[in-house]
Amino acid sequence: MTTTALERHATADEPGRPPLLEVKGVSKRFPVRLGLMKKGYVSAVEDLSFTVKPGTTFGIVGESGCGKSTAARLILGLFDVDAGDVLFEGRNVVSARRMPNIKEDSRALRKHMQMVFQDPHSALNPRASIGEIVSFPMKVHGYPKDERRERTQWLLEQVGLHANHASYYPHQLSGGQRQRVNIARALALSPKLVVCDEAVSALDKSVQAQVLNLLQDLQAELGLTYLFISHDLNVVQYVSDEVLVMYLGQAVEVTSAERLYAEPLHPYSQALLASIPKIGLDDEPSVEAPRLEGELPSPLDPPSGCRFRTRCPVAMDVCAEERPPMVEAAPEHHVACHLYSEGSVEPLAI
Amino acid sequence: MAVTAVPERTARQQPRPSVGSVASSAPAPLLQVEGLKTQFPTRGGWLTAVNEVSFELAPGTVLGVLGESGSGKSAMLRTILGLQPKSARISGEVILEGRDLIAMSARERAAMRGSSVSMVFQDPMTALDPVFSVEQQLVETIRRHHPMSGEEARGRALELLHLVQIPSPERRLKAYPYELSGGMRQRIVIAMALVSNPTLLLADEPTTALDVTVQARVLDLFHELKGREGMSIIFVTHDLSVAAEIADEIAVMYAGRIVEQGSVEELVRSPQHPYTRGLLEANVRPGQADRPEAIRGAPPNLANLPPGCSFAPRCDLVEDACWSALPEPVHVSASHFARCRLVTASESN
Repeated sequence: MTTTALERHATADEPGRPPLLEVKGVSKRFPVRLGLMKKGYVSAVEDLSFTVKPGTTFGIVGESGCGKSTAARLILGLFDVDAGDVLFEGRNVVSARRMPNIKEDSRALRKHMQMVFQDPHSALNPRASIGEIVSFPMKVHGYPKDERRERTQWLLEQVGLHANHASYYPHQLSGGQRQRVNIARALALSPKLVVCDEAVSALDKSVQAQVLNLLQDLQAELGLTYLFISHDLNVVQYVSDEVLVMYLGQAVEVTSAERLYAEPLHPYSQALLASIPKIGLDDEPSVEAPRLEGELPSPLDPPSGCRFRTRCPVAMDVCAEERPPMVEAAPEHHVACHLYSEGSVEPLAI
Repeated sequence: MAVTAVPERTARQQPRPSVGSVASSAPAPLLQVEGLKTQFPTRGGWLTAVNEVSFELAPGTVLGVLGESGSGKSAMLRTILGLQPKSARISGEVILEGRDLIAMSARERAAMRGSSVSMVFQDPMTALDPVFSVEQQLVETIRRHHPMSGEEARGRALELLHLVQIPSPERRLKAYPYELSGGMRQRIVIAMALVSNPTLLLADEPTTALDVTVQARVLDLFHELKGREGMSIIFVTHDLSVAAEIADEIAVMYAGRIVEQGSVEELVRSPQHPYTRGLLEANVRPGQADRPEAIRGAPPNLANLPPGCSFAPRCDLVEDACWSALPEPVHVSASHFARCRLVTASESN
């Protein structure tokens, strides 16, 4: 396995390769009614920026309500962004979606970005056969019938199912098999980017490992790029090359998976990592941090400055006044916290 | 066939600070479960959800029940509490404080429920009634078990909210469930289960619906309840690391049976049953770089179990004999057994 991880890094570090996906200062607010006449806004994602290199896995981790799923939907163009840009291979997903006369362009972009959803049960139409489900995207995009049938068979075999599973219906399959069908459907149009939104979270542990291994094999074979979104830190750490930590709609830290887990800088990342339950074997790395006190603030009225400051054990005055900029504290290690400055991982003495 | 994990145990190689209260002088068990079997009628015949489960629980200890969906762990808790539908076929004994919960009448059992034994359910979103305030729900529960004035009951409700560490409890009493976060709701549900100082708390995946940082705090609370109130807890979970954090002993369930049981140390350091080993391998651990070893296949259909070992179709070490005869439990130590033919009593690596 480690070999494929190395290979992935090798492709990732090839110089001069443009990023597959660039997210630049994306924000999204949702209107909510607070009363008869009062309207408010939930700030779901604010000023989110990151880039994903081709052939790598980019993980987004955070707790419920941090905006990770909204981010995924913005990238796929399922929601309109309020501000910012999403560039896929240099082409703007946002403008492609906004202008109706270039619908074809939008459709072509969509083909290259597919999604695997969380719940393998509700993501499949119970009245359609597996073959119909997997071939449907190809039908939409006008593949000839023979090619559809052939490719459906190939896809089912790729995800470790049998070609004659095509005649089955979703209820005849187990949870793990259904998630394989979801993956097969996502791969039907040979996408470049696959967004996995909590794709293994609903599966039992023994089956989860099967699906994780499958995702990695497919990546190595087909050169896929994954955007892997999960609340399970262990899984994100394991599959990802780079990880972004989100808190209340904002990115707080972006770095390689190894660095994040070996040396988390942001106080929130530290608290998050320290909360992972341990089996109690000696070789487990452990992060010491106090338990997070208090509750997640309401996204209707997020705290000023740094959004984490209300629960931060080391909050300072400046944290309430200014939003901390994302700084590169160490090479390839970005953190948005007033404790750190450009090129220094030593926290400011308080 | 019935096995009881003898509470007498040898010193651990590396005692965890949290498990100091495990009985070493074998006091009378608080709970004794003997040959418990729960079956449900289905079109395809009787479905055996809980199959000949036996164990003992000493006072003040936490038993972690580990299993995947459909392994029978929740069905077992509901059977102990007498919450199964009338159509279910139940046999065996559940002896709590000397009385058999299965044999007693529904009325007697209802009196035990909430006073000696209570349950915390998985989903804090649905366990509370959305149209009543926290105070109304807590006071109703308190007065159901202890005749007292509304004012006294309110005082007790406040005490309980303090006990489960809810910040500004006076304000929260007036709140409705939708106004509270998931972690807060789960604390209220726990407070409600503690109304009558039960000696046994059944917890069905109480942290599964919570975020990790909230889960860590709720687990701390369970630790504290165990230590301070001397409560025994059966903690059902699908997460091995949660079980290892909270429990003194872990029972691994597969297809309705306990396939392995032992102290946390024994189970994590020297798992015996191929299924337990598989679970440990499949679990992605912090900092893991190697590929997780998946267990092949999927859990069996409970309505149509193979005659032999129910794990045989997925086992890498399967032998001919596994298919025909149900393996008997083999003890590797006084407190540790596994139901596998390949485990030998002397083996202790």
